[in-house]
Amino acid sequence: MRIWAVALNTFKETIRNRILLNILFFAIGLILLSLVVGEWSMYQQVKVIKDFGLSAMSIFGLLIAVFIGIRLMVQELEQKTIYLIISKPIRRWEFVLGKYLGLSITLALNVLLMSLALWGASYLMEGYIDWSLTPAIILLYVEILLVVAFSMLFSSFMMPTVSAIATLMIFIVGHLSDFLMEFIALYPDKGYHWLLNAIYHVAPNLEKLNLKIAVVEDLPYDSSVLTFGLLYGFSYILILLIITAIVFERKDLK
Amino acid sequence: MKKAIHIIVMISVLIGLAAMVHFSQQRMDQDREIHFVNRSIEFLPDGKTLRILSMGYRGLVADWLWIRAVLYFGRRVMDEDNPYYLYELYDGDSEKIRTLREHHEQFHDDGEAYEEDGHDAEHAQKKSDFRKILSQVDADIPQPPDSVFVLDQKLISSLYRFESRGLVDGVYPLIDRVVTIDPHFIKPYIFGGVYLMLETGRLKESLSLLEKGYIANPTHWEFPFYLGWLHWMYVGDLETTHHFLLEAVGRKDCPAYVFRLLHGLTQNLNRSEMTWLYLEGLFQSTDDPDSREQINQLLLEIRQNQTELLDP
Repeated sequence: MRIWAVALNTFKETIRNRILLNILFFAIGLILLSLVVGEWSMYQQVKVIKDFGLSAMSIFGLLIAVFIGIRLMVQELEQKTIYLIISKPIRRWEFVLGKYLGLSITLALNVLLMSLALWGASYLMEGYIDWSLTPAIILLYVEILLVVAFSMLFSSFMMPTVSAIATLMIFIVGHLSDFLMEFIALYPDKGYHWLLNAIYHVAPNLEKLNLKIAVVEDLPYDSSVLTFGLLYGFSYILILLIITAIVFERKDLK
Repeated sequence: MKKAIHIIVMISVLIGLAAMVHFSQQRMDQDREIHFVNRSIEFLPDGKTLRILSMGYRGLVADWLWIRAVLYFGRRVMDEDNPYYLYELYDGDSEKIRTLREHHEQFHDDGEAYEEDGHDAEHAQKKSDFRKILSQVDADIPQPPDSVFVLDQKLISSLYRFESRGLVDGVYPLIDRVVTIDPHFIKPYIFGGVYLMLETGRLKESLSLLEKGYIANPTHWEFPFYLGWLHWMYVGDLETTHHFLLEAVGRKDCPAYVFRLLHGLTQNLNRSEMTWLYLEGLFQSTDDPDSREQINQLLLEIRQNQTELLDP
């Protein structure tokens, strides 16, 4: 119940955030712009619209994670409202979880609005709603949640700018994970492979949550990709939230 | 009073700035040249690097490069409707270009050929000179194999015209990058491997693109079908064509005309009939209106000369 109260409050707080509205406005604008860009693609409009739409959702989701995810904790500390909250009968881990859930609901609403814009644009082109995009959108949402979890973790013990850079680095490394394995296979004699292996196993493999090309180009994929993608994503998020809660528990707020 | 002066000064400054923006834009428009050779492609990293750099947005980057390739092609393709092509032909003489465009719209908009007199003769000469320069640039274009000579000469000239040779060479590296980033993006392979081949005659690049698609998309019948077409018409290698058609019919959703083609090849049908079947297949396998019109024209040319086309 206490977690839900924090979550609801965070949702109300983030939904009123102007940065969020601006990002959402640009994302929907970009999705609709793809209708025009698609015209230049020589009868590949549908593919371009879907690629643009899904990529816009992912990129703007990352921006929300960086701009709002980091501010979420920092703001409480800067405005000293944290003291008011921790003086109430609420545990710190409940506060962390509530904050995260609140932002997750906001993000879900954002992803839903962007999906509606994408489905609307593709409906204009194809004459029907392409539900096959749904698995990619679900995994994309999980990816955003994962990045938000990282941003919350970093912002619990780093300066906001450093947290933003670290979150961005995680995003980049997360999408290059597969390349690390390719590199190891191509150059097996390098001495620093233990480091690359360690990065591969520790950093999140965001490519495992990327079904964009598969759904847009109608490539065959196993349904277990979605199941294990969700399992992978939520397990990772839970680990990050537990670490964030531990860090926050130990944080000296005096 | 002071406030009014302040407002007047502000408005004057704004009008002055707007005039400067307008003037500088006009000046830039005058000075800007339409560069025929787009060198920016040379500065693009190779496909594999772009694939890594594109991270989770491979589809988006491939689309962007594909649009660049289409625009690059559209700006350079040899076409009287294309202002960029006319710009090059008339060395940037804007008055001449304007006159010619008006003339073209008035007399040749329905595809009517240029006559060898007056204004048209000058244009025909310009085109011919330009053609000669371009043919020196790229002399390595395929010649009709001996066995093709039994075909109608008009058809040969259509299939070996290569109107835009030397003009759109930069499009191949772009398309190669597109399919390296997104190997399942089918359209660029077909565009580069078949329709661009008809425009440029770059057989090596076209074969290379289609072979890449053939490996990356082992379930698509289009790749062996189009590879068979190139080997049939531009290499003159019937055995390889037969091999590719056999591959094509073994793949999912392969249409009936490919089976008919294979049957015809096995039965040693004459080349004219086989070419007809092939072109019919190409016609049916594309939804691009321009390509369909181009292929339809070839089919009409065969039909008009049907009696001459029959092999002895």
